[in-house]
Amino acid sequence: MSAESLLGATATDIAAAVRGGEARASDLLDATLARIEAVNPSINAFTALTKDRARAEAAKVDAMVAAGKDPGPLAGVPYGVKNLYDVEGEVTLAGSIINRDNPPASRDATVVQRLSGAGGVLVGLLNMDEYAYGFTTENSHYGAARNPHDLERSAGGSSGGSAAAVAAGLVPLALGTDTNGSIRVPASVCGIHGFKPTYGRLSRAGVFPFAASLDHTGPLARSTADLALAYDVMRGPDPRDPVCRTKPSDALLEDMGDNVGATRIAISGGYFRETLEDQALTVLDTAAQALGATRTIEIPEAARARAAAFVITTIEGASVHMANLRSRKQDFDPLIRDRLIAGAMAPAAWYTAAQRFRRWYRDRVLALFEDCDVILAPATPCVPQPLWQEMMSLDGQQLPVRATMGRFTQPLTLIGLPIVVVPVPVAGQRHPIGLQIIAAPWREIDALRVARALEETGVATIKAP
Amino acid sequence: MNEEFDLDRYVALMAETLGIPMTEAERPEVILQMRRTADLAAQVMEFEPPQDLEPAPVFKP
Repeated sequence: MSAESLLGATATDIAAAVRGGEARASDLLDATLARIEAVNPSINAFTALTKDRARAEAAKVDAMVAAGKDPGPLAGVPYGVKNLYDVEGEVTLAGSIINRDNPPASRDATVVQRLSGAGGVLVGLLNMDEYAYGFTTENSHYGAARNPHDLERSAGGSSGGSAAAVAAGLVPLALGTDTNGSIRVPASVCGIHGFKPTYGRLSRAGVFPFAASLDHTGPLARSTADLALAYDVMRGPDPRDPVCRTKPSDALLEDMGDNVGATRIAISGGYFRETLEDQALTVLDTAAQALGATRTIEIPEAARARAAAFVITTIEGASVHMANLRSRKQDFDPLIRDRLIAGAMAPAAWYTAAQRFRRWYRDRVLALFEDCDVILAPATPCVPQPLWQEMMSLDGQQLPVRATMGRFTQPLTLIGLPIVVVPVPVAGQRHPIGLQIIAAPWREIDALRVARALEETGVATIKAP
Repeated sequence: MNEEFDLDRYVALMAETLGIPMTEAERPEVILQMRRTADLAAQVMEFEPPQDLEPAPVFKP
């Protein structure tokens, strides 16, 4: 099997070929780096490559295969990480110029260590909104990540580089982070799969913080099995992250193929069917029909939940950067600087009110899961928008693009629910919108089973850019 | 919440209180962001949960 034939393949297929001795990790790495060099200038997904490390990791995998040893379930799989993850020897820039003054990371983030420990080959670092504070990956220092489906449009954010790299077939797997939708929004508008497990499920140790009480880590990939594969490798307790669950997690890959006949699937109504493009409704209704779902439920107070998420984010986010806001605020990306300053100035009463509402809202939403196992909702209200555009028209309203992209994701991260995003192409439409499959806390398996079922029927599928 | 509160004065005072340098020219954009934040916070503030409700994040020693 030629290495070139594995470009664009899933992580599952690559690992099988490498473990079976049909392809060498080093050859695949060379082909991957050549493809990145050819394609990346047009999409600006990678902001740095880690070639030396990648060559060492690929050589190690090949040596193990040659010696008859098992290099792990991600054998030879090239992957990239959002530039928010610590990578040993690299400075974690977090999309900023301020962090250039920081020393290189002394060790990998826990989940990076686990991916590489399972045979993964880290090829580079991916573009993002500065400090993850955005939904469009328009970065004033490093340029915008461009959507492989339409280079004039945003790749979504803040993990836009991660989504663009996977959608363009540069790597089969990338890590993003999600505080308000930063995995789900770019997965949606780049037409790929994204997975944000339950808050506290995957370690965040060694990941530069945005808003600590909302921050999640997770994978973006080209198949639902690859999401599960990456999750299975990354899961597990981590004393370095105070939020990470201490109870061991079950693996998902083996059980995700189970029949979804018994899974009770509901369709979100109310807020999630308002202020959106027709295509987003078509995505939702197409998936519901394919799954035989007919029951509509309303997530209560979703608009207020989005407001609470905004307030908590801006205040927690500002607290991380207070010293730099005092001493060098001119070095922040102008797209985020004034939002951080406003967050720094917000009264404590706003924050505590938002955290108290959050508890109330959690209890109400969890009650919905007594009668259903998953809830379907659009991931974004619209297709990706042209880069650097300020306003957009939606349902006759003029709305700010950068904030509106998170309309359907923010009310859900607020209470840490596990969510899988799958691409649901609509005939005749060039630009993607994804579907959120939302499960109860710690029930990732329910969301993944439904995602897999949609993939098997062909409703959820990746369209070549 | 008082929706009429003087954001211009508030931003200037808070910049001074927090030690964030800010010129006159820089202030309008911060006021705009503060207005957006205040509008969203108003939605949260008008909600009155039971007084004995715990806030969401729970510290575990």
